[in-house]
Amino acid sequence: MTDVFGAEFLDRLHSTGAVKNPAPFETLRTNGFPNRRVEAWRYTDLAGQLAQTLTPAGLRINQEQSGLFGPNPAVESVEGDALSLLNAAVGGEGFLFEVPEGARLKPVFARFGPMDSNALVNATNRITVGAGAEAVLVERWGQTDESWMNSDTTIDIAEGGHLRRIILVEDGGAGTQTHRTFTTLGENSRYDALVVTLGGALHRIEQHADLTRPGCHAGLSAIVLKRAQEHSDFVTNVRHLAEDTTSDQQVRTVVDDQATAIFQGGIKVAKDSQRIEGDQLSRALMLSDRAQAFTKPELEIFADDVKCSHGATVGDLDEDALFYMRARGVDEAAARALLILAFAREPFEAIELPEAIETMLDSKVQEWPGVSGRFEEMDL
Amino acid sequence: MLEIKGLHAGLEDGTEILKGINLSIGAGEVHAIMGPNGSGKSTTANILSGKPGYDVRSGSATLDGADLFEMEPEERAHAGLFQAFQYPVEIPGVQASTFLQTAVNAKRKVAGLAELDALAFVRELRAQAKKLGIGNDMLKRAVNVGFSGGEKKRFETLQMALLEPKLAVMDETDSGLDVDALRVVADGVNALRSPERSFLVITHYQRLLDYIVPDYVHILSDGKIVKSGDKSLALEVERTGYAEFEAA
Ligand SMILES: Nc1ncnc2c1ncn2[C@@H]1O[C@H](COP(=O)(O)OP(=O)(O)OP(=O)(O)O)[C@@H](O)[C@H]1O
Ligand SMILES: [Mg+2]
Repeated sequence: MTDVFGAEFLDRLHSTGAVKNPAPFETLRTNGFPNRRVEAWRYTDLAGQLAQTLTPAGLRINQEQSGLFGPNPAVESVEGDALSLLNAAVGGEGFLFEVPEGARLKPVFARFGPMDSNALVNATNRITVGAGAEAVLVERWGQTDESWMNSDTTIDIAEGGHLRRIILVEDGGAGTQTHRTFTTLGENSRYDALVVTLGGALHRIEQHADLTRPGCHAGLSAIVLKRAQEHSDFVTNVRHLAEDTTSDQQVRTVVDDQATAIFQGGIKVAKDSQRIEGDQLSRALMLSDRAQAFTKPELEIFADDVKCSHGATVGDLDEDALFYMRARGVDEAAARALLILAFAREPFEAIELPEAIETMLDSKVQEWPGVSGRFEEMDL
Repeated sequence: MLEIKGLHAGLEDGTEILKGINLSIGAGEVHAIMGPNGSGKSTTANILSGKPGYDVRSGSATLDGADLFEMEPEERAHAGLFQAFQYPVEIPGVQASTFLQTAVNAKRKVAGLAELDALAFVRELRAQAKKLGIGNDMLKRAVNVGFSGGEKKRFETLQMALLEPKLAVMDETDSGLDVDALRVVADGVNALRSPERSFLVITHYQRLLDYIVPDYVHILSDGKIVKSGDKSLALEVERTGYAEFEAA
């Protein structure tokens, strides 16, 4: 069975005794990991990660407010692919975040990382938002070595609930992060996710959302800043399974050096799902000739009364804007920084985020080498 | 203040636009340049500011003795040069007030002055904006994005007021302004006039020169200054057009 992609990786994992659930492990061991001949993995090669010897370890959770998270007792298998099977096989516990019906939570901040160095972390997380509840969850998934963090998060948002989630995926080292979210939305509910991915040898963030009842909305957006040899694969999959549902996807990508960024944006509209609006716009800024940005829209529409739009642009920094700023005395590096940040943030300007989140986002974005501009709204 | 000598310049593809410009502007003077469309007025301004895409073939330009062509665009700004653009650039995502603060502090830093904090800056910004009839809502918007033609020109004037240049090159700042706005902008410029500050005003309309009275008027035609005189030259142009000044 040596032609199974990742067989040796799985055998090593098995020998550590980390496998707790044999069924998903056997399926994975038989089918292997997806290679680049699998369409959804065309641009992302797991070979480098699978060649590593990593120590299975748990998920470290640091939360600013105590008592909001508990360990997730039910490690469920989710509908994802091989990476979800890996997670299910190891049975990695994650967090449980429950927003009671009608609650209006202040923004909740949490940081996640590996318990050990050069670790393989698997985590299954669960978020529930009760009817009419509102919550803002800010997550930072970070590490500083070559660990691989792999997670599945399932979210249920009940009628009229609203969850805004900001997910910073950052790597100080050459790590891998593969995170999948599966959200199910109830009537008139809302899910707004903004993924910010920085650093890392390989980040693949998947956001799946099922719009199951009328009046619900999913916003699945991302800011992707990559340099050096970093690699990002942002995948969305919105399924409009009920009438009168809307979705929006805004992706801003900045790639420098030899970095690669991929956006695979899926919008599916089921037969009989009428009066649907789905918007998707991907804009990439290429700061080097050797950087790469790919956009792959995947629209499958089986109803008639549907307004779906998608667009993709790739461009350089606006030289006229750069000169305009320099002519006002702003030096070239600072002018570039301001323009890059402005480009990345522009579609999200109208989103009213709590001050603390703004500050955190800004400081995160500014940790990116070569970016040093201040970017803050002024009170006038 | 500004000395331009024998300036021949054009595009990088070899096209010649400026065919030997000589111009000397003393401290505190206001010079106006008039001339037909395409004669090279904006090109002159752009080359002084260091806009990429142009090629200086020969000649020199110095500001208070310093060679402008040896400097980066931002260094020229730090040295006291300011160009109010004929077509100001839109910068989506960069808030106008943030941009202004960044520019003002960049200049202060080079001059060895302490950077202004947000509070001090906003006080100064509001005072200057008010004089030019610029409201807070405009300053909260992205630089020039969705600004009307007149608003863009007011915003250029505001930048000039905040950056306090030694030499302001104003390229058709009057175009697109209504009568009242023209007066407001002209008042703004006049308030800045001082024995240390000079202006090079590019315009098509003698009307502006009623408000901002120039010491000298030059006619630029086909890349050359074909005639210089006092403010009465502008009236002559208004009457007769440019035909009689065409370069031979
Ligand atoms: N970057 C450029 N690329 C191509 N052509 C240019 C460029 N800049 C200037 N030109 C050309 O050079 C000539 C002079 O242009 P310039 O903008 O300096 O004229 P102007 O005197 O300012 O005219 P106007 O009164 O219409 O503003 C024109 O023929 C113009 O098309
Ligand atoms: Mg012009």
